[in-house]
Amino acid sequence: MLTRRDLVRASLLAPFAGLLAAPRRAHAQSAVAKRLVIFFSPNGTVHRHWRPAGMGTSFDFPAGTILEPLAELKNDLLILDGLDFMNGNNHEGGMSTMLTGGGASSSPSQGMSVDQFIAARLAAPTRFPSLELGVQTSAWGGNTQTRMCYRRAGEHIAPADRPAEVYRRLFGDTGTPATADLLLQKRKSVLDLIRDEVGALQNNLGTEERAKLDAHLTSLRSVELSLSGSTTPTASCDSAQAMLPADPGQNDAFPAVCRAQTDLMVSALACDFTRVATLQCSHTVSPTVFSWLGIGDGHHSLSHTDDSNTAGMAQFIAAERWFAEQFAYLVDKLKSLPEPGGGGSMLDNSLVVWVKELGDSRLHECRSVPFVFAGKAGGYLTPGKYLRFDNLSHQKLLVTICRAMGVDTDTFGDPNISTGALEGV
Amino acid sequence: MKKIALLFTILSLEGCNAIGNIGAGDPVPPQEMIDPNNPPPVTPQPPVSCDQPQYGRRLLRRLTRGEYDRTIEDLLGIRGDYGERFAADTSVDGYDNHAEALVVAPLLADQLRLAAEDLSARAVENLNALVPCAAGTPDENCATELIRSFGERAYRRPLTETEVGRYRTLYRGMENFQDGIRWIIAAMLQSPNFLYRSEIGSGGERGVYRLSAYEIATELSYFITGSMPDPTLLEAAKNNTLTDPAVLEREAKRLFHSPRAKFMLSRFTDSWLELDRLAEVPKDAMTYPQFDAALREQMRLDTENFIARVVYEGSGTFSGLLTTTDGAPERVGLLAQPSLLSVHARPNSSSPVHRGKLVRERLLCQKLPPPPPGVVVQPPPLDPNLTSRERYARHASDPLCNGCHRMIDPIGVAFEHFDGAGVFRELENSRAIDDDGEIVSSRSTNTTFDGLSGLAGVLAESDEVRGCFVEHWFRFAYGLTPQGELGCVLGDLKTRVGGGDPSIEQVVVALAVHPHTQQRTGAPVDPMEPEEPMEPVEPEEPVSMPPVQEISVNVHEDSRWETGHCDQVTVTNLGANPLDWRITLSIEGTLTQHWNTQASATSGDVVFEGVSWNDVIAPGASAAFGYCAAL
Repeated sequence: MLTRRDLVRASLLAPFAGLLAAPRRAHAQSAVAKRLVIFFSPNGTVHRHWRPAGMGTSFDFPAGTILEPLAELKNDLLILDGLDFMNGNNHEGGMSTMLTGGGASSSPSQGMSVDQFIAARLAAPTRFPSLELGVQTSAWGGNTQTRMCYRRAGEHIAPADRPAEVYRRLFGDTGTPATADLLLQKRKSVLDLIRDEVGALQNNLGTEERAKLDAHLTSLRSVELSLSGSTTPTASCDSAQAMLPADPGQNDAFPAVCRAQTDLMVSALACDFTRVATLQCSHTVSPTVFSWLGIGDGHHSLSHTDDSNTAGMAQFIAAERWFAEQFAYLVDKLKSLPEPGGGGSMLDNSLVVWVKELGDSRLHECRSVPFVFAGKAGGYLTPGKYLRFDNLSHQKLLVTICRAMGVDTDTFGDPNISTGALEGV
Repeated sequence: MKKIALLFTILSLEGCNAIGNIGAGDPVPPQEMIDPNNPPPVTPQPPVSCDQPQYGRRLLRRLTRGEYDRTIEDLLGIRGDYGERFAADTSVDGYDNHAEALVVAPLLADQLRLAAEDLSARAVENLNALVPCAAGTPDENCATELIRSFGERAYRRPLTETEVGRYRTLYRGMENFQDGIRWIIAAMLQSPNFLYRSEIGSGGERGVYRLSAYEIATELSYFITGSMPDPTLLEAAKNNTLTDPAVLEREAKRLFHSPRAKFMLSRFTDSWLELDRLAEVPKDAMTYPQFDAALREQMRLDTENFIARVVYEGSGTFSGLLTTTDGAPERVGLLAQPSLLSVHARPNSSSPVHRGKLVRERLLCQKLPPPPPGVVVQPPPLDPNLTSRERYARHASDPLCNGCHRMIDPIGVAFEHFDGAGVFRELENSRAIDDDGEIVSSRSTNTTFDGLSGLAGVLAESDEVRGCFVEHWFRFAYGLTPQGELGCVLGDLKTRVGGGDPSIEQVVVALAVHPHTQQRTGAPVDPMEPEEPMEPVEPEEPVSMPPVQEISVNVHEDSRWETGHCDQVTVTNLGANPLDWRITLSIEGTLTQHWNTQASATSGDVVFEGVSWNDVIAPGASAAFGYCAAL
C-alpha cells in the first residue's frame, strides 16, 4: 500500500504555484462557458447489479448495487440504459467505437472521438484545447485496447498518466513573476527555430513523411498556445490539494493516481485552462488488482465472473462500486465549486459522462452499454431521471453530448447507422 | 506460383467442433495499428514480384523513448528516465519502434520541451566540460564552435551553415554566455534533426535514393546499440567508407561484440516475448508476497544476463536461446525464465492459456482471434483440490471452447511446473503435475512433447519458429511491417540467414548489411517535370485456372447459435507444386471475425486467402482458417 512518504505535496514541487504570473490575456468570454468531462472505467458491467429500481423521475439505487454510491447525487444524474454500439463489439471494438461512434475519415465527425470533435468545434481560447489524463493506461503501450480518444480516424491520443508532470504543465512551469515574460520569450525563440528546422526538412523530403512533419508543426503550435495563454488561477482553482504519487505506474498507487488526476482535472477546468477533459482509468481488459479492497484477482478476470460464483461476483461489484465512488467524488467536487464567471456551481454548466466499453462483460458484447450523465450543461439537460431506451444506437448519445455542449450536429460516427439525439434528457 | 481462384458454394456442413473463448482472463496482445472503425481500404494490388532487389521507402524514424534516454546519456553524460516517462507510443505488433507510429503528438512535444529544458540546465552546470574552447573565452566564437561540434553529435552529421546561423541567432538573443549555451542545447534536443533518425538519402533518379554514410551509421548504431553512433562509427561516416559493404559488415560485427549491444538483445527480447510488462504486471500480494519491485528488477536482470551469456559465451545460436539451461536443470532456455513465467500468468496463479497463447502468437507467428461475442465465459476459479490443468479441463471437453483452445492450452500446460511467479513446483495442491502437451494446427511443427524441455526442443528445431524469429528481428531492426516489397526483403533475409540453426550474430549482421540499409525508394525527383503520379501499375497477369482437383476445401461448422455461427475451413494442396491459395466461399450472414486468413468482403461470395504463415501450402499439406458470421 501507498504510504504518506510516497506522496509529495504538490506545493513542494512548485514553490511558485501561489505566485503565478500576472495575466497576459484577459478571459475572452463574458458568457459562462460549458465544460465536458468524460470518465472511463473498464470491462463492462453486470446489468442486474447496475440497474436502478424504478423508472423516469421515480427511481433509486438498491442497497448493494454498483450505482448506490451515487445516491446523494441522484438528482444531478441521468442514468441511461439500453444503448447499443451498432458498429463495434468485444473489447477492442467497444473501446474504439465508444467515443467515435464508428466514424471513418469520410464521416461528418471524421473518425474523431466526441471530446476531440467538440474541442475542435468550440475552439475555445484556452491554454489547452483538451486535456487527456489517465490512470495506468499504458503498461501495454498504445493500441486499440488502451486508447479511447481519437484525433482523427485511426490516430489515437495517449493520455498523460503522471500526475506530477500534469501538475507541472498546468501550474508549475512559468517561472517567477519577475522572470516569466523573459522565459516565455526564450521559449518562443526556440519554437521558432524548431519550426524553421521542420520546414527545411520538409523541403528536402518532398511528398514522403509530409503528414508526420505537418503533425509535428501542429504540435508545436499547441505547445506555444499552452505557454502563452493566461495562467492566472482564479480563487476557486487552487491546485495545492493535489497529492502527487511518486510511482504512478504501480498497481497499488491506482487510487492515489485516480484522485490526483481528478483534482488536477477539476483545477484545470476551474482555471479555465481547458473546457474539455477526459480521465481514463486503466483500459479494456484491465488487469488491475483492487488490492486496496482486499481483492487478489485482476479486474478483467473478475468481470467474467459467472452468476453462480457469488464470492467472485461480490468482488466485481465491490470494484465497480469503487469506480462509482470515484465518479461521485468528481461530480461532487464540481458541484461544490462556485461557477467562476456567474451564479450556481460549476456542475450546472458542465456535462460529466461516465462511459464504459462493453455491456455485459461476461458476453463480450456491446449491447446495453451503461452510461451516466451528471450536470445540467447550462440548462440543456434536466437530470434526476433513469431512462431506458429500446436498443438505440449510442451514436444518439454522442449527438446529445455535442448538442449539450452547444455544437450542433445531426450525426456522430457512422451516419448510415444512426442520426439524431436522445429524447427525454 | 499462381493464385488459384475457385468458387465453392457450401451445400452441406459436417462436424460440430465448436469454437469458443480464448482465455477470459487474458490480455489480448497489442494488435496491428488498424482501427476497426476504419479498416485500411482494400485496393487490389498487383502481386509483388520478388525477382528484383527490394528495399523500403524513405523514412524519418523518431527516437523511441528508450533510444532517447540512451542518446542523452551518450550525448550529455546524463543518465535518466526522461524518455521512459514520455507518453507511451502506439505499439505495433508489440514493437514500440514502428516508423509510422512514432510521431510528435502535442503531449509529447510538451514533454520533449520540458525534458530539453531540464537537461540543458543540468548540462551547463558543468560548463567547462561542455564547451570546446578555453574557459577564458566565453564569446560568440566559442558558442559557434560548440554549435558545430555538439551539433554534429546531436544531429549525427555536420550542420549546414544555415543551421549554424539559426543557432547563432538564438544565442544572440539570450542573456549571457551560459544562458546562450543552455538554450542552444535546449533547442537542439527539440530539433527534428535530433528527434528523427534520417533515412532519406539523396539522388532520386528513377525513384531510388542512396542513404548517406551518416545515415547508414545512424541506422546501424540505433539498431545494434539503441543509441547514437560512437566516435569510431562517426569517423567511418566522415571518411565515407561505410558505403563499402565489407566495412559495414566489419562495423556491424564490432558493435555486436561491444558491451553496448546488450541493450539491443534485451530490448528485442522484451518486445518479442512481451517481457516489457514485467515492471508493472499486477500480482496478488496474498498469493505472491515476495513479488516486490526488487524481485521484478532482479528477474529482468537475470534474463538480460542469461541472454548475454548464451549469445556471447554459449552457443550464440537461436536454439541455444531456447534450450540452454540456466542454473537448475528445469530452467530450460528463455521460456523457463522467471520474468517470462511471471508476465505470462494470472495475478494469483499460473495460466496455461497465457503461456500457450504466447507460444502460438510470438514463436509460431499465428495470431489468435478474440473470443466470439455472445458466449458466456468464466475462467475457472481457484480450487485447492485441483491442478491448474485440471481446472482448465473444460477447455478440452466443452466443444464450445475447444475449437480455439486446442491451439493454446495443450502448449501452455508444458509450463505447469512453474507457478504465477515463475517458481518451480514439484506438485500443485499436493497433486502430480502433468506437463505433457501437443502442438496442433501449425505449419510444420505439429507434434506431441514431454514437458517444457520437450517443448523447447521442438521449437528450437522448427523451421517455422526460426522463420518467425527472423520476422521479429525484421520488425525490431527496421521498424516496419513486412508487407508488400518489405515481404520480399523478409524473404530475402531468411534466405541470407540460411537453413540450420543460425547464430544471433548471423541474423543481426544479415539485417545490418541488407540493401535496405543503404538505399530506399521514393517519389522520383525530376525538377524539370511536374510531379508524376505513382509508377504505372502493371496489368495483372491473366490467371489460368488450374484443374480443380489440385485443391480440396473442407468446411466444418464449429458452432451455431440463434444469431451466429462459426466455421473452420481446411484447404489441402493435392497437387505436386507449392500452392499460393485463394478460394471463394458463399457466406451465410455477415462476417464478424476471421483468423489465419484475409477476407475480401463481409457477406455474399467472399474471397479468402492466406496470411504470412499459411499463404503457401506445400504439396500434400493443408492450411486451416476460420470465421464467424452474424445471422
